[in-house]
Amino acid sequence: MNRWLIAVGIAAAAAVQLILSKLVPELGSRIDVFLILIAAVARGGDMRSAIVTGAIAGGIEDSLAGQLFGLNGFAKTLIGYLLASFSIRILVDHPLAIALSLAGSVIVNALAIGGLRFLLAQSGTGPTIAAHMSRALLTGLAGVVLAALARYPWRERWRTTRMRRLRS
Amino acid sequence: MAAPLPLNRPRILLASILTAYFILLSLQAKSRENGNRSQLEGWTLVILRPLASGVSTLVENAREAGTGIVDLRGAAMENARLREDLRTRGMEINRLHQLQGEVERLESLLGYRSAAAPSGSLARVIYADTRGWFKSIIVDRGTESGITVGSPVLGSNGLVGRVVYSTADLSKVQLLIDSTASVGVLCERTRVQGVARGDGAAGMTLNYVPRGADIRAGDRILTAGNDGIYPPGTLVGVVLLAAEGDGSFREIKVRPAAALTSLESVLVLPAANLPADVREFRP
Repeated sequence: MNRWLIAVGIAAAAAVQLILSKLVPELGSRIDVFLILIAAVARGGDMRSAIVTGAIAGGIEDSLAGQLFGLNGFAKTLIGYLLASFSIRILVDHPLAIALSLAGSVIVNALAIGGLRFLLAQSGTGPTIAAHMSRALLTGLAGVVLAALARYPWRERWRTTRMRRLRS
Repeated sequence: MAAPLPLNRPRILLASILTAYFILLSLQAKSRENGNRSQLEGWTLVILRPLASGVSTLVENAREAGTGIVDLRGAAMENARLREDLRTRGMEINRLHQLQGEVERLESLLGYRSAAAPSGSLARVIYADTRGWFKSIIVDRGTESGITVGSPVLGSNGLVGRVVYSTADLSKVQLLIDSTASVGVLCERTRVQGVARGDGAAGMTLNYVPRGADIRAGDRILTAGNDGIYPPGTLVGVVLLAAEGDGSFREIKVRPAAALTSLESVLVLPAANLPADVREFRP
C-alpha cells in the first residue's frame, strides 16, 4: 500500500481518536480507531505495510495513553502481522468477517497488553471484561460501517446525480 | 562487516519491531517508578502536538457555536439571573474582604506566617483517557509554563491529580481515579486522616481509617498536605459509603469532587519545593 496513504490514514485515525475523546468520551474509549486502520491496511494482504502501520499507530496510541510506552505498539504490531496473515489465506470481505476479525483483534490487543503488564510486573487495575467486550463489539460495528462507506460508489453516485440535474 | 538486517522480509521486520518494543518496555518498567519515561514518548507527543491542539480548538469552536445558537433563546432570562447572582456575589466578596482583614490582623498579632497563595497556569485538556489501564489527561502546557513532574492539578470543583510527564508545551496528568494514584487526606468535619487511592474505575477508596473513626456518607474529604505533593485543604471528594469493614480499617468509598471524565480546563500549580534529599529518596 502507498506509504503516503498510510501516513494520511494514521494522522486521520489520530485526529478521529482525539475528536471522539473530546466530543464523546464514552464512545472514544470504546472504539479502537487505530485498530480499524490496521485491519483496513492488513486486508490488502501487504504484511510489511500492516506491521509498520501497527507499530506506528500503536506508538501514537501509547504516547496519548499514560501507560508504559510500547504496550500498544507491541500489541498492534503483532495484530498487524496476524491480520495480514489471515487476509492472505482467507478473504475477509463479508461484513460479518470484518466485524469478527476486528472484535477478535480487540481481544488479542487486550490479552497482549495484559500479558506484557504481567511479565513486566506492572501494578494497576485495567478495564473490566465487560468493557473489553463492549469495545470489541463497537470497534467491530464501526469497522463494518467504515468498510461499507469506503466501498460505496461515491463517484458514480455523484456522476449520476450530476447527469440527472444537467438533463432536467 | 555485518550484513544489514533483511527488513524487507515480514517476519524479520516483525521480530525486529517486537524486540525493540520489548527492550523499550523492559527499560521503562523499572525506571518509570522513579518518574523516568521513554524519550520516544516525548518525541511522539511533540509530533502530535499540532494535531492535538488543532483538533481541540476545532471541537471547542464547533461546540461553542452550537451552544451559542441554542443559548441565544434563554439569554435574556440568563442575563437577569446572572445580574442577581453578581449582586449577591458582590456582597459576599465584601464580607470576605472584611474577614480577610480580620484574619490578617489576628495573624500579625500572633506572629503567624501564612503560606502565600500558589500561582498556577491555566491549561486546556486536549486528550483524556479515563477508560484504559492508566487514567490520564494531556494538557496544553508544559515546562515552558513552569510545569514540572509532580505539579498538582486542580479542576473547578476540586483536585484532579498530578503531572507525571512533561514536554516543553504538553503535560500528562495522572488522575486521582487511577489505581496507582494516592493522596494524603483528612475528613473536613472530624479531621480524621487517611490515604485516598484511585479504584481504577471512576472513584476512590479511603484507606487506613481505623475502625471506630467518625466518618460518614456526605463528609467532605480534603488534602492533608502531608504527602509533599498536594497543597493542604484542597477538596478531593465526598464520602459515598462508609462501612465498618472486616479488618482493623474501615471500608470507605469516595466520589471525586472534580468531574474527572469531562474536564475541559485545569489549573496546574507549581510542584512542591521539597529538599533534594527528600525528593530523591529511594527506599
